[in-house]
This record gives sequence, structure tokens and C-alpha cells, in this order.
Amino acid sequence: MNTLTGAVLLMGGAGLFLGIIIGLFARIFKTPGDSRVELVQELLPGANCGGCGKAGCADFAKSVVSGEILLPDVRFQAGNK
Amino acid sequence: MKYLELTIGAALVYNFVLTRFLGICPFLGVSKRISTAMGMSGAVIFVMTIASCCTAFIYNYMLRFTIDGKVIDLSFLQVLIFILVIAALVQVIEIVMQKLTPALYQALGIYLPLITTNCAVLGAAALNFNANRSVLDATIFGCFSGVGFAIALLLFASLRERLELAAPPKAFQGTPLALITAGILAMAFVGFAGLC
Repeated sequence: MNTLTGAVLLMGGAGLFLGIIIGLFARIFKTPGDSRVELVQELLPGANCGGCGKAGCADFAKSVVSGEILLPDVRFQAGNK
Repeated sequence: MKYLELTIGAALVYNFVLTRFLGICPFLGVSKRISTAMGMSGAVIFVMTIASCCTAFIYNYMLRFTIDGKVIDLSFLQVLIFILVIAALVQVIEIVMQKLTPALYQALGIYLPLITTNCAVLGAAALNFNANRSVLDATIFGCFSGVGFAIALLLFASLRERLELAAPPKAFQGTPLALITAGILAMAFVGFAGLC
């Protein structure tokens, strides 16, 4: 075993170990989000263009579900600032 | 006596924010209100303690070892593996906080994942490595460095809350006044120099 294999083993092992730990914690402490947000998000193009005035498609989907934005009110502004 | 020196030194004399000038980003970023400052302080103390413990364990037992009489020195990997461990820790804390304290999670916002790149946390790990501290000493040092960060942050946040009510000249409003306050606070902490 030389320095190279030692380095690869150390970094690989640490990455694998920490990855498993994070995965376990993500599973145990899963925060159940509103499933409708995901449904709305799937219908959106996902380009995060910002034309609707929100920070991104995920943010827009969240606002639609929470009722903050009513769909008929949405005016898309593409290109002109 | 040794531990008194270690704790007072880490928290006051060589305060991470006001003497070493590490971790300035959250110091200015989350010091607008005391409640968020307290949440941030708690998170930083927690991350620094555990990160110091983990990194001390790594550099004591895994970065330099002997196999078949050959010494393998991997200490050139220190920064890389410290960052890996700190990032993973912050990720875990974020997941747990999102579940258990959603309000605090919202309040801290972007500053919580930014603990990953908080140079105070990496600084504590690197200083421990350079001083070749044992796992126990390193953990104590990390914890009290976090306490020092918390002291600085809370002092600064309460000062800033008071300053909200003051009416400074227009050129000094907001960030300039905050930076001047931070400078005066840093000068006050110089008073601890030579204590140990």
C-alpha cells in the first residue's frame, strides 16, 4: 500500500460513509411536503425564466398551491425588462 | 489550568470573529435580530464542536499511520477531508432542523447551508491540526471557539438592534454603521490580549 492507494481509500471511504449517514438521516427526518406543489411543478416548463415574477418554477408552484397567485392574474413577460 | 487557558483563549483572547477575523459573513449577515443571531450561534457552536471532534479523530488516527513498517503520510489531504466532513455535518443538521424547528430553519435561510463555507469552522479544524491537539482538547477548543463566535454575534446583534432606533447621518445608515460598530467591538476585544 502506498500513499496513492491510501489517499483513494481514505477519501472514497469517507465519502461512502458520510453519504450513507446523510441518506439515513434524510430518510428518518423526512419532511412531508405538500404533494400538490410537485404536481404543479411537473406541469411547468422548468426553465426558471422568471417571467412570472417569481424566483423560479418551484417558487411559482408553491405560490399557486398556497393561493397567493391566482392563475387568471398571471401575466408572463418574456424578454422585455 | 491548561483547559482554562484553552477555553478562555478560544472564546475571548483569540476570538474567532473579532481577533482572528474568521466567519465575518454570518457575523454581518444574521446580526440584524437577536432571535436569528441566537439560532445561528447555536447552530455554529454545534457544528464547530462536532466538526472539531470528527476532524481531530481523522487527523489523529487516519491521516498518518504505519503499515508494514512504512509510514503513510496523507496530511496533504487535510483541507479536502475537513471540508467533506463539515459539509456532510451541515447537511445532516439542515435535515434535522427542517423537521424539528421549521421556524428557525426559515429564519436562518441561506446562512444555514453557508456554515459549510464558514471559514471559522474550517479554521478551528485547521488550527487544531496545526497545534496537533488530541481529540478531547480539539473538541473543547471547537466548542469554546463556537461560544466565542456566539458572544461576538450576540453582542453585535444587540448593538445593532439598539442602533436601529438611533438617527445617524445619512451616509452612515445601515452597513457603514454596522462595520464601524464591528470595528469598535474588535478594539474592545483587544483588551483581552495577554490574558493567556
